[in-house]
Amino acid sequence: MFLNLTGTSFVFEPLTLCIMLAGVFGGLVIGAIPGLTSTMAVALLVPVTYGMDTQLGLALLVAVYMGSISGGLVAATLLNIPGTPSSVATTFDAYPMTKRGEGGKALAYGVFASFLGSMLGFIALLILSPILGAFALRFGPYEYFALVVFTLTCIISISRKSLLKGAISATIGLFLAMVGLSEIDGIPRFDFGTDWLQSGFSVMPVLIGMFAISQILDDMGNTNKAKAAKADFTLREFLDVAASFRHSIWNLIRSSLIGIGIGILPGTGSGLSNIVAYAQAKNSAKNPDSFGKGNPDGIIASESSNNAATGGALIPLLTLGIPGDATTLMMIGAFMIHGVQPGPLLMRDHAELVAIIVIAYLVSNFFMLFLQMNFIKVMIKALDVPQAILFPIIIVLCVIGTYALNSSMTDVWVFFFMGIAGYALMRTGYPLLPLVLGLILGGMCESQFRSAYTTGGDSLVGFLNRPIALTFLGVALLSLCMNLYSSSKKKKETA
Amino acid sequence: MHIAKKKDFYSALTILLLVGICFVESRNIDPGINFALGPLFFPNLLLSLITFFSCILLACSIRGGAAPVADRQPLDVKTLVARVVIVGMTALYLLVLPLLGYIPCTMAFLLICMVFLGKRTLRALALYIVIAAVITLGLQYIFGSLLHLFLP
Repeated sequence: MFLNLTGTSFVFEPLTLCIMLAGVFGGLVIGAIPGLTSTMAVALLVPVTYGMDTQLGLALLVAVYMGSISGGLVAATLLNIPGTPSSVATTFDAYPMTKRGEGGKALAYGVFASFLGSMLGFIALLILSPILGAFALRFGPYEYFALVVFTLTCIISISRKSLLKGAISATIGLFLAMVGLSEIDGIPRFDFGTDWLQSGFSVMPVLIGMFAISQILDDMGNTNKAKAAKADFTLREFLDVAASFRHSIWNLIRSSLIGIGIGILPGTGSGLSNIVAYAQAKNSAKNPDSFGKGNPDGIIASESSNNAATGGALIPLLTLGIPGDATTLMMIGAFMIHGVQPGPLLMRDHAELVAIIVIAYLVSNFFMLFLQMNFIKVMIKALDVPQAILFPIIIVLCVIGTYALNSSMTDVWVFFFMGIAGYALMRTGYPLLPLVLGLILGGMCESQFRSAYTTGGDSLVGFLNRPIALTFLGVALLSLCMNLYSSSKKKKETA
Repeated sequence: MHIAKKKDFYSALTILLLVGICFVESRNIDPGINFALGPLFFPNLLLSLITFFSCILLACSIRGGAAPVADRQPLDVKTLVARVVIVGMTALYLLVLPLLGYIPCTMAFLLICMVFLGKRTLRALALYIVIAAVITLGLQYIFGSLLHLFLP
């Protein structure tokens, strides 16, 4: 990738570096607090970037994203509570190590694995972005519609507990995008005679409400209190662990590749990659029985894959304008707020922004290593913040942040009701991610389909002459069939 | 009729009810000049899909096998009350926010929520007052003074 010089040099300006350092630190703290995800970290930070320059705002968001993914390691290792979904598999081996007095060593493995996984994610971002970007320029309405269909099948397939509920959730999200003025002909739809529904549902209030409020309400029932944890964490241990990584190179590369691959797929991301990478590491180990009992390879697999996935998730964001996961979905919102339209033309029209994101990713990774090595003991203190103090503060932050979007209480009420709806859906087993992604993709899905239909002379035959579109639709169909097959197989096994 | 999965059954019914309301509302929409595939094509297609999926879910919830473990978990009344109170407090906060202004409402909301969720000792109360004041004024400084954004 040819990196724009203006953008690259902007990242190395003292103010940008200071803001990014603070962003990585804030992300690490938020990620370390159980229940606070990278999505919430970015969601909370998006309103803060309103008053900033676009470049500075995006660098800060990348820094927070990187920090919050890694921050989950602390709670997962010391408390057996994954701070973020991307750290679930980390708990399997890191906590047993902590229990036997090797908490510092476990953290060191996680920190180095995170760093190296991110470096591989950076290389992928640098190498694969132009390829996907050039490919994306060949996209027309047919291809975009097919891509949206493919994305939706990916999203539904992550609803592993119930494909049907995933499908319902995604379809509801798509329908919510139909509320308000129609993109093509400007006809008001489903406004129920009210003015405030004519502009439709903004993505951010729905997203913040769905993830923050529902998460808080859900965590309220969680009685797992964060215990004050003591862990020896010396620089010497870091160096010893770094030296021992030569024995786990293949595990590191394989796990990172899994992370990048899954990160690229829209709607998946680090939450899924750490589980897949862990399973692969265990299956290919000489002694698989040692996994789950404090095997460092388990930590390496989980942490390298979830950090590599952040690089992967940025690839579709930068090249296609499609979110790789919920956090990059938030970043799309941030792009739009700053008047930047993510998509295939981003690299041509805003090369400096692409360079800032890529270089900010690299610099944040070094900041992450530096901070985790030096301030881990201080960060652990954040785990002691009681829920009674934390939850009301998060609610106020979300309310103020949502209001700041358009200085509108309507947005705040949308945030509130969507939070309650999200919680109700969560409690009844409906995944929230497909709904929010459906809302994001709904407008594009409709307008591209109608454009394709009109371009083809009121016919869908045009799809037959578009190999990329046909490939996406074919893969989508295949993916759906495979998911239906594995779902029915699982049901039979359970029965 | 035996309902095997109550959560699925009632959620599917609720969704079907909402879909019905939307179908009725769609009849009030003026499609304007009809281009190929008018403005109602996609919404109606999606409503049909939601109906189809919900009907499957409804059928599965009636005839489906054993209920998942989560369906059988006893309801924790204390947690439920806490959730309802927090939701109610948030609704009240949003209602009075435009009337009374950001500082008094936010400080009161933070303080009441912390007292409700946390320890109720004199020392804790003093801590909550300090935190509520610092957060409220700190946010006002960051959003209002630093970023020049409007607060409610």
